[in-house]
Amino acid sequence: MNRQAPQRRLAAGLAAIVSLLAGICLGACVNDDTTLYEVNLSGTIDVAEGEPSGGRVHVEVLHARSGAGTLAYPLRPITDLELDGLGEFAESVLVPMENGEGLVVYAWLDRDGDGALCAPGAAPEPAGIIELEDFPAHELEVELVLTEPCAGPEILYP
Amino acid sequence: MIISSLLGASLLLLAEEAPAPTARDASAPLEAASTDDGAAPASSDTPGNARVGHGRGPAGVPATFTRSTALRARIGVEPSAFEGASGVSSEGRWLASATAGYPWWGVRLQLGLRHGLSPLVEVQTALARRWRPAAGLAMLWVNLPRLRIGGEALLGWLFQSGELGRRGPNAELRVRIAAPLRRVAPYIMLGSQHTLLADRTTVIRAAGEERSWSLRGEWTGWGTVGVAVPITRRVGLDLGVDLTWVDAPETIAIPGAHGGIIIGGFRQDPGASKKRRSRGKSQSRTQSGDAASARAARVMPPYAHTGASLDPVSGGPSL
Amino acid sequence: MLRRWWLIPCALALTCGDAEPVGVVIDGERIPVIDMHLHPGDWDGVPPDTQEFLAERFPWPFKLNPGRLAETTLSADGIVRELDAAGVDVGVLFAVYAPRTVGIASNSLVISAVAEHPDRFLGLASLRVDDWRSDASKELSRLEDALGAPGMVGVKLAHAHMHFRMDDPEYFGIYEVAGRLGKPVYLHTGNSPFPGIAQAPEYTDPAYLEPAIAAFPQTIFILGHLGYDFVRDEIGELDTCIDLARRYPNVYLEPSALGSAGNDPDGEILLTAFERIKEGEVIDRVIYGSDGPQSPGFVSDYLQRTVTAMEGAEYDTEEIRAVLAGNFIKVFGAEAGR
Repeated sequence: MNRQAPQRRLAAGLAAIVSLLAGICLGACVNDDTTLYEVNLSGTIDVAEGEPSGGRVHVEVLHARSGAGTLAYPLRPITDLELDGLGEFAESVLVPMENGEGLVVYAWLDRDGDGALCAPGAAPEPAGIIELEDFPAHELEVELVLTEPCAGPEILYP
Repeated sequence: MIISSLLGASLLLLAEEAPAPTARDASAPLEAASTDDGAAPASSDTPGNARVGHGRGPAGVPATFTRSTALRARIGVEPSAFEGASGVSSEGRWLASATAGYPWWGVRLQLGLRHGLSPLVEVQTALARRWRPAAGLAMLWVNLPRLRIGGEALLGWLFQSGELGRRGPNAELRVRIAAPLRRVAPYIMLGSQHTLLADRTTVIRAAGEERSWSLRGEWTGWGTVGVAVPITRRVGLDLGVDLTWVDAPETIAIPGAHGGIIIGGFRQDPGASKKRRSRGKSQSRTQSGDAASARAARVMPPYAHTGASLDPVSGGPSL
Repeated sequence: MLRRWWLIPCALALTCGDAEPVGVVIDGERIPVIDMHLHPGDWDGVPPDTQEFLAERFPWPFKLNPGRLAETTLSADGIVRELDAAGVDVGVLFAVYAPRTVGIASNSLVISAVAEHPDRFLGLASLRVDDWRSDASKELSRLEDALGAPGMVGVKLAHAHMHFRMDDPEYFGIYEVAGRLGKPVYLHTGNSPFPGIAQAPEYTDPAYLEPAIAAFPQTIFILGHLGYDFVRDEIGELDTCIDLARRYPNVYLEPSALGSAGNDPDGEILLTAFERIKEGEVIDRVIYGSDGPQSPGFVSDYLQRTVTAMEGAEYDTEEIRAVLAGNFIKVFGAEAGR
């Protein structure tokens, strides 16, 4: 009997420790906790009337703003898309909600198919940007006209 | 991890060839269990005395010593520091240790049970940014005079803060090899620590939310080379060099070092203190010889004994 | 002429005085060293993604508290210790405004560090380009003010870190200010492994700088990292850099970081770079920089690696002297030196 009492105490102590650990587990399990907001983008990407319209369209989807304090900055990249050409499009993107606010779409027309916007010696290629003011919303309309030659997104926004 | 498990299993099978590990701090003499002063060994049902182990009495009949009878028999008791080195306490003994160093600090409590088992709890921290509380069980597989090999299995939780924050359930397997010598016990400890890290992804769609979980792991390899130094039978020092390869093989690790204190003793039986007080009053000076010899036994080096073998198997000292 | 006046104290400092010997010994001759690429910093000025990126690369257990190590290494005193250990006479500290990527080391931080060790440090100023169409004049004015501080000898830009095109004429006002004030412009060329970097060629390929180089002949352009591809650990646009240096007298080259132990463990890349520079006959355009301090011992190690590569490419003593200090003095007219 005397020998069993210490062993019962030991078992009770171990059970208490395990229970405590299990309780901590419930509140301390998650490491990376990512929330993705699905956005279905649809609309048209075009050039000004009369401008050459051939070539693939490179699209970048970006957060309008990111960071805090002195480390705040505009235009944090989310994802890249490539469209077969100008005109109507419909794409679905997942926007990570922890990384920034707002949503911006930037696009440029790759007329010469070299994969670079206005490479040295190449003819100018148009670009454009639009902020989607209705974000967050699952369905967003994009009407973008590419009018700025050789312009990166950073010079077009805000 | 698999290799250490197989090693532990095979050593356990080998160990079962010999008698079950006994408390190393006392064993019966080859002769009759009666000692010079005529004190008879306590039987297993003797009240008020913690069992310290088995020996062999006349004709090989096992005899059980208690702490008090072992001391009266002037049989040496292994220093707690040596039990700290092997990671397993003998039956009836407890051990607490605290270490400090760079980057690891820790505290550990272990208790000796039968069959070479020691449940334990410990908390480790590195720079107060990485914490791992755990509970587990240690087992002695090999118990030879100059060699102790034991294994430990621990379950706990990892909390790491800062730029590389992470948290999750943690399991560790260890192997300890200790070589108790006359005055010191060098030891090696090898550990394999695994942490499960859970990540959660929530996708918010027009139709609703979807939640998914994914798991990744962090493996930490651990090696310690150290030495346990008894100061007294109950108190000792632990000095060692640690190489902890956290999140291997992604990064490199710089060795650390630690120093610590080990304190151990016997578990107190509920009636022991009362009996000690009554014994102190009635036996007093008539037991002065016993008291003197008991004190002498308590401070004697581990191998000191009066013609009695400490190892029931080999006939030599069990340390 | 004004610039050349500063050569006198610099030359005296490098050749006379009772200071401890500095520099490297080549063929028994001690050659002074100016390291034109050093980063002071403030851990809180690094964005969280980059803090995590850097912490992962620290050895255990320093990665548990990377800010503490970074603050020690990146402080002014820490950098001076690195210079002393390497035998470097003068170091040039870079201001950085790249909140998307590597973070911010402000002009005021650099000006303070230079003021703290005026005999050991010079500085390059920088500016924010985030809201350029609305803030350009304000930022250029701030840049001019910073360049007026003692020891601030040039401008530092990194298009890949700061996310603006190399050939966008809307940013050319920076080169106009630099040329007018006689302050050379250091530009990061090639890509970078840090999170958030703009990797497209218009932000990394030095060929896209040619319009600016041609438009501002009075401005000196220093092409840093020789167009190295830090993502694939390849030579990248080295030949483009050498070609620009051959064709434009206002182009200089700086071989920092590509020859580090992490990028170039066997030294072959740095050796190849110096061989091609020699073949291109542009040794007189190379200005030494390390991109330190990064970690304890990096500044010294990179200097040794660079010297080894130059010796391997059979540079003579005068050519080594030109790379390690002479070309810097020619371009910047150093104000400081022991």
